[in-house]
Amino acid sequence: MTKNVFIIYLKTKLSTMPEKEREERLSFYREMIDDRIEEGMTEEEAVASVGKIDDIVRDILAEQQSTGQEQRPRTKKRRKAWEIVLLVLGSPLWIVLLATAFVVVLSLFISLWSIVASLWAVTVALPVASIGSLGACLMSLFEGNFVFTFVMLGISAFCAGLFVFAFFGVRYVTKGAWFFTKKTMEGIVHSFYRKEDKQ
Amino acid sequence: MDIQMKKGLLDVCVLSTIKNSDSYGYEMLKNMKPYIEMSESTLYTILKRLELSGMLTVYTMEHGGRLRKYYHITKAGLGRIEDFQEEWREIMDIYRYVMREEETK
Repeated sequence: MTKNVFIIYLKTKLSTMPEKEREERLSFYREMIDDRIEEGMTEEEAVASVGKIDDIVRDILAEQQSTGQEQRPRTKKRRKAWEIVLLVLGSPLWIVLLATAFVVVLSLFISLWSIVASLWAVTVALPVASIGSLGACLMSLFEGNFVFTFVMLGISAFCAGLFVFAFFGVRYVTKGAWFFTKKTMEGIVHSFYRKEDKQ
Repeated sequence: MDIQMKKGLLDVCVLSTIKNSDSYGYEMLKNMKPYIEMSESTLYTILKRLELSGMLTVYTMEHGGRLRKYYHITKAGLGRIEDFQEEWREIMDIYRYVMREEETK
């Protein structure tokens, strides 16, 4: 097994651990393997001498338990009768509120992605305009209108140059919008999971 | 062995490996190996505990094109080793007393 595969496996097995702590542990193991390789072991030997992943995970969890750092499993509480009655009676209210929240979030996403789409439309239009003005430039050259030729050549170069900047800028904006959408969706999904756990 | 006692002993063991000079994880394991076999996860937990209690400090230094963590003992850490030596004398006295009782049986 290579060092990278080992680290990925270990990372997966320790997925319940807080990220900062997990990364610290992983870098500790990375260093241990690198030091063994430096001493003359092959990568495979170095990984093998650190131990089996399952044993390592068992050790880590045992260490955590003895130091009281373990994450307690969430206890499922049963919903009381009056809570159910309240939920049913309040349904006209909370269903409407939930639907409103859904519409608000949806419209937020739609407007965000509309901006992204319009930015792309402008970006795509730039090379088209560049090619168009280049065509006009050539045509006016044949007609002998040199002032117009220069103006068109300038516009063409300007559009082409602007396209390069716009392309990278819009790509950055798209990435940002995607990150925002993903994080928001994750947040919503996560909050629902937590609600289910508390039931 | 009692867990708390074992923890205390391992702490002192790790501290004594960096008593004279700073060291890094793998070197510490190698130095301790003739006396005590310790897994990486145990060492990590001990180092973390000692760091949090101010017995040692951690710093990162470049080594062979990568970063390596080094551990440095503090005054509190050195004090812990001295306390251990004192405590151990008392324990040895008790041990000798217990063994004498065993032998007379």
